Amino acid sequence: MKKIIAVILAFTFVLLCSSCKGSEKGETAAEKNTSAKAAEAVQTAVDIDLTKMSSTMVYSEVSNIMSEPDKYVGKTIRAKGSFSENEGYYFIVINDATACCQKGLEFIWAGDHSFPADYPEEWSEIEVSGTFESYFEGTKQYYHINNAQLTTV
Amino acid sequence: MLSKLAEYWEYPFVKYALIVGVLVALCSSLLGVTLVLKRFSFIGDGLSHVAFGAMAIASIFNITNDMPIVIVITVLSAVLLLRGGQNAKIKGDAAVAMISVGALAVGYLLLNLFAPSGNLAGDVCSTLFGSTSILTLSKFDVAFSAGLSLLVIVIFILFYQKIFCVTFDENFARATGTKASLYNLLIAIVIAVIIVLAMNLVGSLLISALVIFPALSAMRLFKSFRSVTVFAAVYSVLTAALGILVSILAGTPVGSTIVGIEIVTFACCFIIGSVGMKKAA
Repeated sequence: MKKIIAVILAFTFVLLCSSCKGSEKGETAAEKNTSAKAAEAVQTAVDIDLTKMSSTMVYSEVSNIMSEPDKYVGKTIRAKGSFSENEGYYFIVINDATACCQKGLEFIWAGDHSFPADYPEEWSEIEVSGTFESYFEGTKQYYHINNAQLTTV
Repeated sequence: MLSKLAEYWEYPFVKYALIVGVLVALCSSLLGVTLVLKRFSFIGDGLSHVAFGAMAIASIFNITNDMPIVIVITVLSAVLLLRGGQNAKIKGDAAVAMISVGALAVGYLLLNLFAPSGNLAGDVCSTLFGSTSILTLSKFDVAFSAGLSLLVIVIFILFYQKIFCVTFDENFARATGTKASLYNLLIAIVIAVIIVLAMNLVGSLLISALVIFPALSAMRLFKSFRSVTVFAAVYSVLTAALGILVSILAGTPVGSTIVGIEIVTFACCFIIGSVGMKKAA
C-alpha cells in the first residue's frame, strides 16, 4: 500500500509540474496577444468577451448561447470568427478545437452598409461586438447580435 | 494561469465537464482492468461504434435526449458479444470486429440518407472525436451521467470479489458455485453503460484509450489485482481532470488531449516499471 501511495504522489507531482510549465507559456502568449488586441479593439464595455477565451471555451460558450439564448438576451458579446452571408443574413462563424464543427451567430452591422461592397470578403476573419437580442419573423423567434461594431482582423 | 482558470471556473459547463469527466474516467478504469485481463481490450471500441449507430438512429428520429435509447442498444450488443462469446458460431474478436464496423457503416449510411442537419461532417466528427461534447452537457446529462457512474462504482464495490474470481479463472469460479454467466452479464451491462457515458468525454474512436491505458499503466508498476485497480482508478481520474483543464486552457480538443496525456504517462510507467524490474533482478 505504501508503494501505491508513493507512486500516486510522484505522479500527481509530475502531472502538476507539466501542466504548470505548459500553461505558463500559454499565458505569456495570451497576454501578448491580448495587449496587442486591446490597442486595436473598440473600447466598449462587454459582458461576454469571447475573444479572450481559448477556442475550446469559445465554442462551448457559443453552444450554450445557442441552447439557452434567453439567458444571454440584453448582454453585450464580442466574438472573433469568420464572416459568412446567407440569403441576406450575416453571420460570424466560430470553429471548435477539432475544426470539424462550426456554429454561427447572426449579427446586424450598425449603420448603413450594402452587401457585398461594404462587407468583408466571405470567410475572412472578423471581430464583432454588439448586444444579443431576440426578434420574431412570423411566429418564429430568432436571436442575433444587434447594433454590432464590425472590424476586420 | 490560475486567474484564467478561476475565470473559466465561473462557467457552469466547466464544472459539469470536470464532474462527469472524473466520474466516467473512474468507472472506465475500474472495469478496464477486468477487460484487459479477460482479453477484451477492443470491446470498448466495438461497443462505441454500436453506440454511434444508435446515436445516428436517434438523431434521424429527432430524439433530442438520445442517451437512454443509445444505452439500451449498446447494452443489448454487449450482452450478445460477451454472453454468447463461448458458444457462438462467430467467436471473440471476429464478432467484435463484425459488430464494430457494421454499426459504424450503418450509422454513417443512415445519417447520409436521412441527414437531420446540414452539418453532417460536423455531427459525425463530433461523435467520433468527442469534440467539445463534454463541455456542452445539459443539467439532465450531468445528473444522468453522475447517477449512472455512481451506480457503476457501487456495483463494482459490491461485487468486487465475484468480478475478481470471474476475471482470473472463470472455470474455477463455476466449479466453486459462482454464477459466472450472471456476473459476465453484469460486466457486459456495466461496460456498455460506461462506453455510452465515455462517448461524451473522448468520442467513440478514442474510448478504448480510456479503458486500456489506466489498466496497462498500473500493470507496469503493480502485480496484485487490488493494487492495479486502485492505481488505475487514481491514474485515470488525474489524467482525465488534467486533460480537461489543459484542453480548456490551451484550446485543444478534449478527447485527444486526455489520450495524449495518457500516452505520455503510460511511457513514464513503462520506464519506471522496467527500471524497477531490473533493480529487483
